[in-house]
Amino acid sequence: MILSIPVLLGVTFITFVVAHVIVPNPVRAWVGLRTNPDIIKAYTERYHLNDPLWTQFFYYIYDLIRGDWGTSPVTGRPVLSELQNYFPATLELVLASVILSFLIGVPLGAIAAVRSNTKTDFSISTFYLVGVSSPPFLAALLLQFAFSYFLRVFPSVGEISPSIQPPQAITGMLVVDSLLTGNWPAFWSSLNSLVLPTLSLTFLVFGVFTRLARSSMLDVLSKDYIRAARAKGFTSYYVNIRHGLRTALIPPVTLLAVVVGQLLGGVVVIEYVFGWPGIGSYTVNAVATSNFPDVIGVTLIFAIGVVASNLAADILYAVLDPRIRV
Amino acid sequence: MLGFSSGLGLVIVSLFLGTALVVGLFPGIVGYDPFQISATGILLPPSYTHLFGTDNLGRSIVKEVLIAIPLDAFVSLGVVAVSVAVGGVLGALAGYVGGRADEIIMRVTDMFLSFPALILAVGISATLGPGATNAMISIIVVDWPTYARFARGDALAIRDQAFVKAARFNGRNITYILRKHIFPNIAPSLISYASVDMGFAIITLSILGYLGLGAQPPAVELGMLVFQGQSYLSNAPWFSLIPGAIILIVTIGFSFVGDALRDVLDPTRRK
Repeated sequence: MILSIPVLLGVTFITFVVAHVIVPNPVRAWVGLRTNPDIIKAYTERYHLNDPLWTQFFYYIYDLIRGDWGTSPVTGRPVLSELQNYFPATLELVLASVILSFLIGVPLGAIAAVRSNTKTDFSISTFYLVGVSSPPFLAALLLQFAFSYFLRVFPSVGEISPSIQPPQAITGMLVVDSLLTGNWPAFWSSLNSLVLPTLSLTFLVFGVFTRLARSSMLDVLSKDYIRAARAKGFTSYYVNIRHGLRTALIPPVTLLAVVVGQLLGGVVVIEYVFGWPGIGSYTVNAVATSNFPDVIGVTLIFAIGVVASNLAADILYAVLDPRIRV
Repeated sequence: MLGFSSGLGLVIVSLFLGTALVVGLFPGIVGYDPFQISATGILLPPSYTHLFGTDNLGRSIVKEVLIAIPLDAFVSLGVVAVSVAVGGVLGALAGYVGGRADEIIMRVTDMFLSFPALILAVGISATLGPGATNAMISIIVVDWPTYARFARGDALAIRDQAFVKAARFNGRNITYILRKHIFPNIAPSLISYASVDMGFAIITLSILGYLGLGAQPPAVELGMLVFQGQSYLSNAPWFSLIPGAIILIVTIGFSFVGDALRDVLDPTRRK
């Protein structure tokens, strides 16, 4: 777990290289389009853009830790505080998608394993192949068209219906907050809005869980203690679920971090399509307005997110596997 | 084991690459004129005259898709080719030589792999600026580490085999061993993954195009088309859904081909 620190450093180093080294015109990128020489001079000093690279790197890390992630040349606001505003919405979406992908993906994989090489297995495999091979915008737009415009079941954009008062902000995640404050109209509305984006993201990633759950389950099912249980005459349910599935459940958990990494890639597009006010839309905005410090800030925070989820997955794995005791 | 899926994959991939080649060499065949707009024929649904319908300026979408295919195909091919080369060489080197070089190369590889791929690609692409070459570079940066991992694993597996040791004892230098013994043996798994990776490259490239990075107008790219069509989703869904569906189909095709390649190139297969 302590290994996360060098990973963080490596990630920061890469972002630094992108932000300060390979960028064609650092001053222009960080200062924005203002050409006032005094402003340029002030910013150059602040970001140490004329100093040798090692100095720049040192100050880069120093600033990051201090909380100074730069200032957006477009809005004039500090990057980190903007990111903090948009973060909870993305967290909510990612959490919902990971949980749903797990809840859908693993059972599907288990079913595919139990009925391996049958039509069920084949159709499940095809289903997740399509999911994994989909460009994110296809899944999102398809769902949006089918369920928002055509069937008019779910809202097409937004985190909550604009006519409903949002709940008091505790975590920043609307569904959680409305639950905590007992604000039922807000709860149903925000849950309603959460459905389509979550379904889109889940569709893209659940295949990872399914594939592993299937092979893990196949592996477990061929073990001797399973055959013994069958020989003893236990029902299929008892053998497959109680013995088989519980053991097969462990490897997919280790995938949680991998899945989050993939999710974060899709979340950018999905958030944009559904007008979800999270870091993903923020990224699209930053790219569109050539807002360089924001782009770098977003890159960094996504990477940190992946490292954090790796950590969480390690902890979860240690908790679940009785053979591992930290 | 060349069954239905492999055949289907082969058909899809050949159609895709074939179209890319033909349209790339003879763009005139398509007869696409970005300035040939029609005020009355906007947002028409697919029909016999306009196979995929028309866009918001009355241009035929099938023509736009056909023009976009060579760009997506060749940039992705370039990405995969360079990634295989860079990743394969570095990985094989790390695996075969071991020691310090191995450590350094693997550290760098891990550093890159701990980033969510798309995010880093977007970050680099946004930094370098618009343009297909810059997009290509950013995807390559994100793509090569996986090949390095594969190559290293394979190289480690064969470096102690008899024929490699024999070559070493015979005094062959490293370059020779790498060239004649290591690379040919790690190539199969790299190549079969490369096929699947084409799908990833195309998807990533299209996302960059969707975000406005990568190729710029008047060049056409599939992701760009999806973005343009998005505003008309409710009344003209074909505009954005068809290019997206094409990306999906092509990715699936490459995935099938990759599986087939893996089966065919597997050295443990009996003839």
